Amino acid sequence: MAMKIAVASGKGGTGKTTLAVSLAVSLGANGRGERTPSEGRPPLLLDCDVEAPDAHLFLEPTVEASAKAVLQVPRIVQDRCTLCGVCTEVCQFNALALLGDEVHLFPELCHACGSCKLACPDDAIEEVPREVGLLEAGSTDDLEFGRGLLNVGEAMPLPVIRQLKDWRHPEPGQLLVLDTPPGTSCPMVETVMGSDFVVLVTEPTPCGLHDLELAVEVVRELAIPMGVVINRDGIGDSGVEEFCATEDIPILLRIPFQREIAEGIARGRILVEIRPEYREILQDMTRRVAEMAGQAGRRSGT
Amino acid sequence: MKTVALPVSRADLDAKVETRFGRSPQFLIVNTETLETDTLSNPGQGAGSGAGIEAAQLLARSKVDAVIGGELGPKAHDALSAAGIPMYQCPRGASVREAVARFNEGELTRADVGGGGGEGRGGGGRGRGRGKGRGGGW
Repeated sequence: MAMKIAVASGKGGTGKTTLAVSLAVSLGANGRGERTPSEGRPPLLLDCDVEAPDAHLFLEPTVEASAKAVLQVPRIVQDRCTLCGVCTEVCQFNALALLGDEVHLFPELCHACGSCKLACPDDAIEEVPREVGLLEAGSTDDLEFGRGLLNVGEAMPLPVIRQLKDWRHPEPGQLLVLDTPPGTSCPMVETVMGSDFVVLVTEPTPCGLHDLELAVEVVRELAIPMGVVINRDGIGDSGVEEFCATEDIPILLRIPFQREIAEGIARGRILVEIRPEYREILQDMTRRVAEMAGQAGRRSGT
Repeated sequence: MKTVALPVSRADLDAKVETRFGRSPQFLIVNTETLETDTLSNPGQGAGSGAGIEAAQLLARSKVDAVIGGELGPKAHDALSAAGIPMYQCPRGASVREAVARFNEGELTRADVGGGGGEGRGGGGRGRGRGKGRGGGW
């Protein structure tokens, strides 16, 4: 089933990873799901929450490959630099400053846009890689897996997310499941962009609703079809249900608030191990998601 | 005679010295002997990032002899050090007039550690380490 599904949420801690991991596993080698031999490879799960990746804790994959996530940052060639200061003016992030008799780089502010190199009239800027994170890939019996890890102290997760998505992209016919960083800011947008469908996980509480509303706005702006999964169903109030009804957003699944599930997840087990009937439930949900994504694709003519 | 720069929100010798540096609205440039003043508005105030660096660059270009202020962020500190501009800390709530008087008396403490007079470079060794040291596995 060739499709890209992003599992996202406005609020953190709603169960994105719980859902993303079990979704991928249920469609994987042991889940059997929809796959036929011609469809080949098991699903690819990418943990794009590079500031706090945790899907590996549930899956314990074997690491088979790793790579560095790097930014190309400027290095001033001092004997060609005339201290004209043009580079410091074009830098929108104040990563370059003319101080004393040298142009200084503040690497952690550099977004690697390359403007300084283009603007330098004396060809006195080279670009050198700066490591900002780590990419890892591996597999389990059920799926292929990749994750990014932003180095401690770094402020910009985007390059790591972008490089992870470039480094491990799905083969033709392979299902891609993206575990998205929480929130509605750039890391979430970067992860979700290019997906065929966004599954928004929420909890039925006022906080869950507030952040769901924000996430819905972002996904609408990106013009990607979406549906909602209500996790910890049974707590809170009916606000999320009413919102989804008003906004005409399908509720794909309700996962009840049950001690057995919470205990299992706290022990590092995944939903489809704790409650095996979820394999079929998630396979069925994916079929509906594929239909909705297909309809939306036909409407927009893609 | 020296010229010193102090972050202020109002161009006045009796204005309080701002606790902020990079996000201060302006800098008062004071001649420590005559108390003549000049004002520089701070281009860093609304910067998306690196406000302290932009402010430091402005003061370096203006060739001030020292900066007197409240708090300095780490990047402002590095930038002023690189420019060889010594930094002095004045007590919270002090006016520009009081701060300059105490500076003239040599009563203010240096806010930069070991920046040393003119040559405050330190050789670009602002390393952050390529540290990887994560244990094996995931």
